[in-house]
Amino acid sequence: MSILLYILWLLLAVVLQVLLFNHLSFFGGVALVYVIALLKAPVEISRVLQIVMGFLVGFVIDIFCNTPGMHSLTAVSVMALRDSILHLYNDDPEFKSGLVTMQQIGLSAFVRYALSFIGLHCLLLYIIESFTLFNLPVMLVKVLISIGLTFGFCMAFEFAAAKR
Amino acid sequence: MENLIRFITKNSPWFTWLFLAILSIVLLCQTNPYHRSIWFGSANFITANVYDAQSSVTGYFGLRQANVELLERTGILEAENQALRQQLQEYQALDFHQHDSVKHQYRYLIAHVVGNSINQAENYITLDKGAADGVHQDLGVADQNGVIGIVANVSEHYSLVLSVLNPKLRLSVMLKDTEAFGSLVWDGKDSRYAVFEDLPRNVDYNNGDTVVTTGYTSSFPKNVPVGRVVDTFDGGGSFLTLHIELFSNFNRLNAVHVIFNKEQEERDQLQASVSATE
Repeated sequence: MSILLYILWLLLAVVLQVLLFNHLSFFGGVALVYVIALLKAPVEISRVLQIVMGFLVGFVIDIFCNTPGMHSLTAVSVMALRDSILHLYNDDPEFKSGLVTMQQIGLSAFVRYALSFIGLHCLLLYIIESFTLFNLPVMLVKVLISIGLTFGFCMAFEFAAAKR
Repeated sequence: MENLIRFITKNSPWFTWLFLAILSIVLLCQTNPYHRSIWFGSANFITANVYDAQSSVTGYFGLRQANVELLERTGILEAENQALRQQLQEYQALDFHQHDSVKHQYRYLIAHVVGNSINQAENYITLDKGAADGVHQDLGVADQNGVIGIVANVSEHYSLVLSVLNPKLRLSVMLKDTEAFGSLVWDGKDSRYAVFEDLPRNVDYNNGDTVVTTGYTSSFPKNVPVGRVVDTFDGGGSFLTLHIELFSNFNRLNAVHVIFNKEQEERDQLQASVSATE
């Protein structure tokens, strides 16, 4: 049941990304809200499934953005590393099912986990993008703004969810 | 054999990753927009319909501004019309006859923007007119303010336009006053500005000068507005680079027109007939 609910959340994030957040750019940086949905994925999903999920989400975003391969390559690679990133910060062996949340792993671990995940995703995404157009200072500004915006939305969502 | 199977199942996440990553890289490497498949872009049936539904709502947002721009444009055209009328009368007085084929060289088709991006490294625009409406590759696209891009690919009812905000597009442009020409490209930085490259150093110009198309390529007629000069970048050498503020607001595109060049169609037919007889 919770998996089904999560898939609905994931779809909603993709739709919001495509129809809303892709059009709100701030000095060239965009909030990547679908990354928030990916990083919160339930931990009981197998690694293979996580990777496939990353690909599918990235592929749909790519189709709408006319950037074939860019988001899918990024999401596939970051999702492949997700379990390892989570293990870096979460030392609770009891945490075997459910979404990755602030209450579950604690505020400081969640902040570090989210920042690593979002940072890696944005950096990889813009590096792949700049293979076709090399412009380092502009790229770094875009990366930092995207990380900031995405992390901001992530924490806002997390606190809003915790309040309820 | 058993060992191989054990090896694969044990490392299945990495094999999955490798397979999907290679698939993504293959997609990523289809860099030529002309060869890019319609299926994996915003002009395919499903994505275009989603964007269509979205723009039927958001299309109304910019109407007030679009209205003001249209009014300004009508004003300019009105004045131009008056001036031309006056000239025509003068010519008629001289019994001057213009050749028929020169009169209506260009035809325009109104299309609506259903998909657009301005913050990618390479930006594309999706229009709601396609092959069924006669749109084909290499046609020019402009709106009431100026140049928008060139059609890169068409499906039955939609077309994908290479936006001016795409470094793959190089446009032949000139300064309106001196007719000194060069090429317009986007430097990937800001959706409001582009760069005018290869302007000969000896050319006189001022900030605020208007930049228009040259008409050297078949996509655009001569004198379609592009932008105005705001700044110079002197890189040394015998050419200058100018920063151009674009007239079109790519953030808020709605109705645009696709430009058909009748002479181009005629020329294509002629070339086709020659190659058919060979």
